[in-house]
Amino acid sequence: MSTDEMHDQPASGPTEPTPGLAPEDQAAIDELIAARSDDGTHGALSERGERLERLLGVLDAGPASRDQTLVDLTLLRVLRAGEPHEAQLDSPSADALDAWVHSGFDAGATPVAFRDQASQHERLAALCTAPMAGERDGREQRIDRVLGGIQAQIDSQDERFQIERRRTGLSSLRFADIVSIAAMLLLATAVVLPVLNSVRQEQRVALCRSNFNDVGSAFGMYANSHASMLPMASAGLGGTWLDVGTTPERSNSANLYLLVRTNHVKLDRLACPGNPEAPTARLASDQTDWRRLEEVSYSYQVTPRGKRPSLKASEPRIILADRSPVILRLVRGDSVNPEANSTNHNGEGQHALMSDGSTQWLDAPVVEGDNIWLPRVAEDKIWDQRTKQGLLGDERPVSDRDVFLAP
Amino acid sequence: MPPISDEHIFEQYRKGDAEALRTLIERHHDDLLRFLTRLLGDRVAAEDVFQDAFLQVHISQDTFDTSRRFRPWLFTIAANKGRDYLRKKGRRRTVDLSAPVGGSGGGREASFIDLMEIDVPAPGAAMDDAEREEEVQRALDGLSPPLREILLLAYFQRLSYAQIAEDLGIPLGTVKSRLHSAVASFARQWNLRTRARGES
Repeated sequence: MSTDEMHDQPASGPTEPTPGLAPEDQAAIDELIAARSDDGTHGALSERGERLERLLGVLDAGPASRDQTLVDLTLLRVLRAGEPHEAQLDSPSADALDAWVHSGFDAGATPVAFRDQASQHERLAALCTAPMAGERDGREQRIDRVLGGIQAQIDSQDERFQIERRRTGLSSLRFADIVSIAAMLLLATAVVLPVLNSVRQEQRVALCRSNFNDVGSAFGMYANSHASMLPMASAGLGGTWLDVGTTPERSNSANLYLLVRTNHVKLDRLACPGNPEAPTARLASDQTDWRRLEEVSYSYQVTPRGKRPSLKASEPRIILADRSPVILRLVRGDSVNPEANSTNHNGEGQHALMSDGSTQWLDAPVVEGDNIWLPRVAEDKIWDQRTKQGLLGDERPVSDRDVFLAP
Repeated sequence: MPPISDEHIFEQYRKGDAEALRTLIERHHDDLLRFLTRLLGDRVAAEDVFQDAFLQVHISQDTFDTSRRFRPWLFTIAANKGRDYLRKKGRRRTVDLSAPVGGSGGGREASFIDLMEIDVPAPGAAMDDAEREEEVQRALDGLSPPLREILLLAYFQRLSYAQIAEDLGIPLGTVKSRLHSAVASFARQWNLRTRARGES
């Protein structure tokens, strides 16, 4: 096909015009093709023809140098293509190998039929396992290097371990650090514990007040069904208000316990949270009183002789309060402080249930000059002792050992 | 009095006797270094892997079951390290263009090797040691890495098929067929070399 014929071919691209050769160049190509002979030589060319030949010569440029390795590898692949794909032992040799392995790699221990082949296997193996020249050279140094490497590994592990421990901060604490931490803990304890105690105390006070509300309701119900009378287990004390449990029919606490016996209130409502010894579960069914003074949480009013406690009163009065500290100390034989608050709430005060059903918090046991822990007669005696009238000014020490100082 | 077992010595090492490990290294130095040299075909690399193998023994000491044998465990670790080395290095085995090329039949069927037709020198036979070592290594280099590994493990560890299978974690049948193939390939490579040497 001549270049003219090539130009006559329709353009394949619909839009891009095909760049064309100048007629002189087309003639030069035809000249070059016509001038080339089969052996690659050609006759004389015009100047344009020679330029065209140089241009086309660029396309013939090959690699700068020949890669001998590539040639060798290619040849090797061609040669090995003719190799058998995989070598296999023939049957006697394979059986001998199995026998040799089963005999613990001892040809002498194989059956006689396999012994020759097994010995051959042994010799083949010996080729690989035979000592090599110079393998013991530098043996000691090599072993030392191995051990040194292992020691370095151990040291590295130790170092990492120490770093980890430092990160966790457990081992690197100095004594001063420990002291500082201990001081901080103590400080925190000193701050937090009172707060916690205060919270607990407040909770106890709140629960106790709730008890008083319930007991007040119980008193009201009891009074409604007993002609406004409050509980009274016996016609009169007969004994002393110091008694609890031992002579229930004559104790004042037995009067209060009557609320439980008549199911107007549960025993746990008469148990102050501030009294750890107060029973909360109902005692025996025939129980008529608490078993001992420590179990009693609340002190109940003592009525004048010949009178029964009732709600018939013109003015509200206190009928129940947190347990009296006076009687507890009297029973124990301890000195008495009549102005002390109940021990139910750390001596900070006490609840008082009024006859009108209300509950008050008293910061002191004295209400309008009346000490709720003592009868008037006892209060008067103490007052007399404390007033000037109790001391006339002419009293003298009984001996030199009776120290008494005066203005 | 029988020598103290490897397993007992290793147990002493695990209990803190540092010198016990030196005893074990000394015991297995020659065989292990030879095994690695044959496996890797490179003495320097073998020395590096030798050190790595014992370091791994130290690191993995808690995993060793003393009811089993120490030597196969050591060689398996060394083989693993050798495999890692070859993989990391991305090693292309040197093409030995002078290697004799067999295949007189010219086909692609498996060639069956009759071991009795192979010229294998008896131990101590007259042959230049250096030359023989070189020829052995060239013959081994002609094997694929998996075949070379199983051949050397079998020759150096001297374990039963079942034990090799357990150590390598491959089926027993595979161990057997692979070892057969490895021995046949090595025998053929060796035979080709000795024939070529005889012709030259």
